[in-house]
Amino acid sequence: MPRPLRDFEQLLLAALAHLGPDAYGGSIRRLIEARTGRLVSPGAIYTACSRLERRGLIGSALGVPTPERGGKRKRHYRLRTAGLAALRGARAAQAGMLRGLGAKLEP
Amino acid sequence: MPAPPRLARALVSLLTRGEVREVILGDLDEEFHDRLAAGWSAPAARRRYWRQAIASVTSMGRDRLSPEPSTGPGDGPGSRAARLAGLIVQDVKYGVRLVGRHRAFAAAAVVTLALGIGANTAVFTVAWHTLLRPLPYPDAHRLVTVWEVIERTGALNTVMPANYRDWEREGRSFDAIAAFGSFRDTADFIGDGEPDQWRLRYVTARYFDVFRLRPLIGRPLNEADAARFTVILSEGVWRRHFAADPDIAGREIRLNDRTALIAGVMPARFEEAAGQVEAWVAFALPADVPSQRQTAHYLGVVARLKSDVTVAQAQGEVAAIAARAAERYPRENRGLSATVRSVADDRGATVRSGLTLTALAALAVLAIACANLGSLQFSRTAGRMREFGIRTSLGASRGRIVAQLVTEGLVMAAAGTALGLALGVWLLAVVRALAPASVQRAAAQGPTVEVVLGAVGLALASALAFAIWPAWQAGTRAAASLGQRTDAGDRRSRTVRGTLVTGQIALAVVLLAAAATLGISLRNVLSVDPGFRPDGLLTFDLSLARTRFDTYRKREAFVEAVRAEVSSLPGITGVCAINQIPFDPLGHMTYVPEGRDVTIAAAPRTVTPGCLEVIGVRLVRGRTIGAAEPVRAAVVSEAFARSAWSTVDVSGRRIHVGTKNGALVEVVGVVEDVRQESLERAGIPQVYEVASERAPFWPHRIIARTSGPPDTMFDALRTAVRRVDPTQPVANLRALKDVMGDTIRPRWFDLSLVSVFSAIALVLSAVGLYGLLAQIVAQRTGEIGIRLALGATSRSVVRLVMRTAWIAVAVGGTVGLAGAAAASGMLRRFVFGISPTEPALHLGAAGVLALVALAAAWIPARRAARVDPVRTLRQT
Repeated sequence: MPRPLRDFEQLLLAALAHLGPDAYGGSIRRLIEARTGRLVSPGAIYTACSRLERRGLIGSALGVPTPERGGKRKRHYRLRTAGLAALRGARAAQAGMLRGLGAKLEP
Repeated sequence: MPAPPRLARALVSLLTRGEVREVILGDLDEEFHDRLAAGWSAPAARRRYWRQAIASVTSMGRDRLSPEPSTGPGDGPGSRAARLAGLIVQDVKYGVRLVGRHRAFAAAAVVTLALGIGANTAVFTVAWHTLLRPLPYPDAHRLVTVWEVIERTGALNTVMPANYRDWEREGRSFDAIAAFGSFRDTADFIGDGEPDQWRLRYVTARYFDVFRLRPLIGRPLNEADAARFTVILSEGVWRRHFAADPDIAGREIRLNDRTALIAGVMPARFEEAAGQVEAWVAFALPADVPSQRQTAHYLGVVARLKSDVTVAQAQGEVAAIAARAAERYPRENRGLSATVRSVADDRGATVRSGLTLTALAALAVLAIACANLGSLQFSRTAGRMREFGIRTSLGASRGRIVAQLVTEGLVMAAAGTALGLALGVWLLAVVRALAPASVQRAAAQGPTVEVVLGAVGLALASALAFAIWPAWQAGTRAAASLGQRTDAGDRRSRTVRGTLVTGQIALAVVLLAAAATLGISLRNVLSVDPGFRPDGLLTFDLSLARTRFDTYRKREAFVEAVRAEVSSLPGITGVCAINQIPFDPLGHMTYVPEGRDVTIAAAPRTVTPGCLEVIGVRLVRGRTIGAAEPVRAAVVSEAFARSAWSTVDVSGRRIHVGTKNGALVEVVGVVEDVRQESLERAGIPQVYEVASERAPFWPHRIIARTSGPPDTMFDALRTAVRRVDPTQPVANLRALKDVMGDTIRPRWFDLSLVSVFSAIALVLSAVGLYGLLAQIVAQRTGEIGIRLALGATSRSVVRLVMRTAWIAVAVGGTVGLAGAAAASGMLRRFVFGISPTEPALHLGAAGVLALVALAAAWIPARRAARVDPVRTLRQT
């Protein structure tokens, strides 16, 4: 029985779903920051993505060097079917728990 | 374009490797540039970079600490180094918790270490930039300067063209040799903004080859360039006036009312050893006529040694060439030899001794700080003996206890380094306000990676040494005593601490004595009479383009117009023009008194009438220079008159200019000597000749006396000159007091740093003594209680405690006095008007220290006297 997704892992999977082929450390950080206001470090993204990859939820590939990063390569990530399923499961669990709380959760 | 913080990058690189490093650094850099593009300030973006770098490293470390069972192949992110980093993070957290539990102790240790690290960061940053950093030229160790040597005095002399030609033709030691005009020249540049005055350097074609540095843009100079006005710009003016135009090479500009061709732009780092100028001008030496060797010595010479030639070999060769020249041309070359000096060795020569002194003082502060650190550790381990004993008897190994103490030491070292670096950067800002120009430039560049690594290394070494030693001792004793606090252990700890405190006191006495010596010397220098009244004088340069002011009349009329306009300003009480101002020497000229066979070197001054009165030079004999002198007339300084005629009675005397065949000038009066280069040395005598068509120099520096502070007049003055001619630049506008102040800046710099360091040393040693006595009182409370209960007076208790303080102060003070006497040799270069071994200064320093130390000791001694016998007896 795999452990449930952590909060941050859900954000990552969602970001990957949004970004499609453009997903890499920099774009993931920008998206999470823009949508949630959370500041995440490249190291945190890297370790969490490696963990998700080991669990078979996402895949990754090393890109080609680009001049704007001083010739440093990016690691590109893509969501795998299992990852999408895990994200769905997390959303279902959350929705199940939140059902009926409508009024309380209004800001 | 601002760059990401190098240190943060180094941190990430250190803890990651391979692909991880590349990806993480790439993301960090990208984010940095994102932030800048989003309008963040560079410091804010750098702070964010730091935060993200640290967050990255720690999250990767954490990942290694709680790895999840891997479901696939592969080693996952990070490396062995990252795993180790994870373990370190864990230990550090533990250390932080431990240190946090003893805040007062931790704060004292961290601040102490930070003071030592801060002092060293500041001093070694300056030393790095001025003395240690490699010169920015390929094979810089082969760069040399070549000089004439006046054999009688051994003084280095600028070179006459014929001698340079000999070296160029006959020298086999050099790959390349080039000459430049050692005189100062400036040119007016009128671009879009305010007219600017550029410093020029006239260089022969191979000048840039010697340094082996290519221009940033364009080409270096060639032999054909001297035929027309060709210049190479410095990177500074290229950016300032031409917006870093990449197509500047080949363009023409107006410089000094002439058309100049721009050949290229030299990078800013070129100027580091070559001297700061705005433009280099192609220049060819006058034609070589062996029968008429010119006697003007005005060239500087640089050369690059062949790879297999040493400086000593090159010295031998140029000396041999000079000896042959002296035989062939006895009239011009007799008494002249030649020598070669290494550019790298000569670097920072003017500030080297001062920097060595302050660096030693900074190291002494660090040593004192380390003593306090060790002392603190000893007292703390002594206080925790019971804890260690219990843990040992429960099975904890000595290694475990030592590891714990070392971890605490490391946490403190990290905090101390961080605080120390911050303190060092702040100190550098202070240094910039006080230091001489070359040091200011160095301080402005801030600490480099090398300096930071050095500081970190020093902090680690000192914190570890002083954590491990007491820790090791504690471990041994804990094992032996099984939790019993032993008097023997306490005593040993006290003995070690006592020795440390004594050593601190000794070092502090040495530093205080040095600071006192420097302070008194500076006071003595400041009280030297410069020979004129510098207060209220201001000065600026008018560079008069030779093409526009091609005749004497035109120049005279222009300077007179400026003089009249400036003197009409309210607040100006006198204005005149002179060719060179005091404390900004340019060189000398020889004079021969009529009918005598002596040659006197003197500073040639050409002045407009009334100048001696404006400057405030006092007349000794005769009269000053009038407005209408029928013949060439001059006033000489007292030293000149005495060496010429052994008297100040000069009526009817005349002097030849240059040699005994030179033109005659009538001496009409004698004035007091004016200090030339610095307040500390008398310098050469002066000859003031009235400005005329025949005078050798043209007065282009305006001196004005103001009734208020000179700097309040600067704007009015610029406006006044602009009213005469809007294209005329006003250069080097300064209060003369500031020009004079530049000559004592090295003293201010040394004094302020050494005083700050000795003040730190004083406080640290007082704290050290206080800590030792506080420990003694705490450990002997029971004994003191018994003594009081048995009838001892509080006075006798105070005496008991103070006895330790007296011993430490007496022994430390004596050792310190001996040390100060031994160190006085180092101060010999810095003293002025006093002896470096002045006993009053040394005793005074020891006295101040004794007072402060005993005052600090008094606090725990009083506490001991107030011990409540009943309460302590109950507790014992």
